Amino acid sequence: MVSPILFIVVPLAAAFLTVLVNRNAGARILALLTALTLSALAWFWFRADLSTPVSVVIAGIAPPMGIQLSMDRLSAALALLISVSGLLVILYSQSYLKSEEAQSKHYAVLLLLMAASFGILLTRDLFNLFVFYEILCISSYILVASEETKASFEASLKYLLLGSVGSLFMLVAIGLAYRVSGSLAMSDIARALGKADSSYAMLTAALFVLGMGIEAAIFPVNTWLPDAHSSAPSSISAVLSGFVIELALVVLLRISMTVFSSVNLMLPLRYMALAGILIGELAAFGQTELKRTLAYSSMGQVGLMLFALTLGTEAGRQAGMAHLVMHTGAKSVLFLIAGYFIVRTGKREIKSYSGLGRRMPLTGVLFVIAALSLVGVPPLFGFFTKFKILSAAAASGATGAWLGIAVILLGTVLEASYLFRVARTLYSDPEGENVKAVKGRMEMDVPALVAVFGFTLLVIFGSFLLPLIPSGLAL
Amino acid sequence: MRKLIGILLIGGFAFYLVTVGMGLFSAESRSELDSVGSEILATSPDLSGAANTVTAVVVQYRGFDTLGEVTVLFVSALGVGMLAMAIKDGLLKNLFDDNGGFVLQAGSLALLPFIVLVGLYITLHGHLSPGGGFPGGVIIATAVFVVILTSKTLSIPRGLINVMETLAGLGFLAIGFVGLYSPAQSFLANILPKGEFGSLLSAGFIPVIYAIVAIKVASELINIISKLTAADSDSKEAAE
Repeated sequence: MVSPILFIVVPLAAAFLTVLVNRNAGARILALLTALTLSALAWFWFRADLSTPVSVVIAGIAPPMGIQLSMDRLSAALALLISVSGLLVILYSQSYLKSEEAQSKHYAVLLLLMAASFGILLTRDLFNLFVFYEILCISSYILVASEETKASFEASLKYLLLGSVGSLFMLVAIGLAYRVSGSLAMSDIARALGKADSSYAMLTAALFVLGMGIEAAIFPVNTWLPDAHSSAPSSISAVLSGFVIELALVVLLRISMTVFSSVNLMLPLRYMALAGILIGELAAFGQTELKRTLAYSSMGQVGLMLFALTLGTEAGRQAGMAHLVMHTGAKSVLFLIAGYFIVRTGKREIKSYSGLGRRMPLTGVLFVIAALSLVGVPPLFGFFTKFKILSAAAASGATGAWLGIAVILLGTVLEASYLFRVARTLYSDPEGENVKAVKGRMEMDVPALVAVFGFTLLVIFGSFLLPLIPSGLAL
Repeated sequence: MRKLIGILLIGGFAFYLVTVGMGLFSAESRSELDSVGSEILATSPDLSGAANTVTAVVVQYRGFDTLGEVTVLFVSALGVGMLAMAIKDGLLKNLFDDNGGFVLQAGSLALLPFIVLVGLYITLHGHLSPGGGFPGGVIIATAVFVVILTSKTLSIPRGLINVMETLAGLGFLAIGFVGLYSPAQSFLANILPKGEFGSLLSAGFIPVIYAIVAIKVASELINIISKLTAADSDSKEAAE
């Protein structure tokens, strides 16, 4: 029998083992094999009939005393997204990571990050969620700091401070929830909070949303993101922007809509989303470094997804989920390519990349495709998802929907202008010192190219996957 | 900036006073689900066989969380290790440069077996009395730390410690798997015989898991201590 628990146990075991592996090649292969196994597992669950979710209890003790995990269609789809993204990023790291580094620890932490991601996705126990959330946060801090530059330490410290405060908020929320329900199972807490005093439920929900929202990079608590996502190694930026914030967002939404269903969180979240779009895109517009631009753009994109998911209609949730999948593909491509721009030129500013598109023709084309999809140009995946969000908003009649449409369109204009600015620089005439920049092979190494190509396929042909993307946010 | 912090602090305290004074955000009545605690108290002796109910909850009822906590410690240790390597000079090296003198050094070495013994006792009696793998592991690591505090001559077999750490981690998962593929068909299900209630060899797999946790905690902490106090050459050695 294939148990959903394998999603957590396999990467954990691999991470424990990886630390022992002294040779970089060994660690790389072990990580790659683990990611392959996880992808196969995820594929099995994605294909399985999950019309009724498959639940497993730990240690044979059913909730409310024990811990229960549950695999539903949404979890299976996200697990597939996480494991395939992880696989491609590990493939990319084969050539991207510098060979003299001690890579075994890097891969071990990356595998732990994946284990924790599956954990928060599958668990139906609020405290168990907190434990996996801690693992997710701590491994993110470590990965952000792993370039060991001053900027990355600063970014990691900022992230750590905010993340620790967020964990505390979450812990207090869990304590408050336990006080009224006497149980840590999400379904019990949902029932108990429904009967509790409404201000009590509101306090619990607000603390939880603010705590979890830090990892999901929701508007007022997303200040760590630009530093962390831009100072991390590019493979890690792709992971953090590609699926970690999205995953946290989905889990946050699922808990808001089930456990805290008695509290009306959707309206405030919707306005927070709009503020996030506006601020993220405006800040991205003003950046001069490519990775910082992309990081701020992630801030805006999270807002876009959150807006769609909080519209409160089925169409809105579908559109939000589809956009999430698209963003994973497009942002991963952009970050992974940005990593090679930095490796090849040694510079982070956009203006140093002039003429780079001609010297790295294949890479340049892939970059432009992903950028176009992020903006929402037909016939790429991004067009369909953005269009779906806009039409869902127009049809929903929710408060703030039309304001949202205006903000999204404004954000799109900003996004188009800064991404086209990058594309224009890539294909402009090289100027000054860039002319005699690095000689020899410029194109990405083969493993990296294959990985980026994989993500690009998702960006181009993703629209065919639309009917397969589930949207049910039930427990 | 300081004014802002002051205003925030005063505002927060005022908010606290107002909410407490007005009785906002309070839950007077508990719901019918209040029974989990008493249910655990009632079922624990039969279900886990452990005389210490807290241990039964930590290892059996919520063993999955404990696996998670072990992982939290593992990943934190990895992070500290990476940081210690980044800071070239051994973060705490200067602190321990002083030679403690013969009396302290000999004394700490003489203490070592006794501290380890206490750690082992606390670990192995975790299912009977307060204690268990986490405090036990910390106490065992303390034995090494005391020696390091007095002198730098202790050579720590890092390779062996790494192997033990990995084996302990894999052992925890293996016990989980035994449960998954046993008739109980549940990860971390307790399938070992429960033994006589209250005796040393009882409570099924709980002492085994606590022993594993102790090994993991102790080896991780010893690893951190040795990395933080190691001189430059040692930390490079550890990187390889």
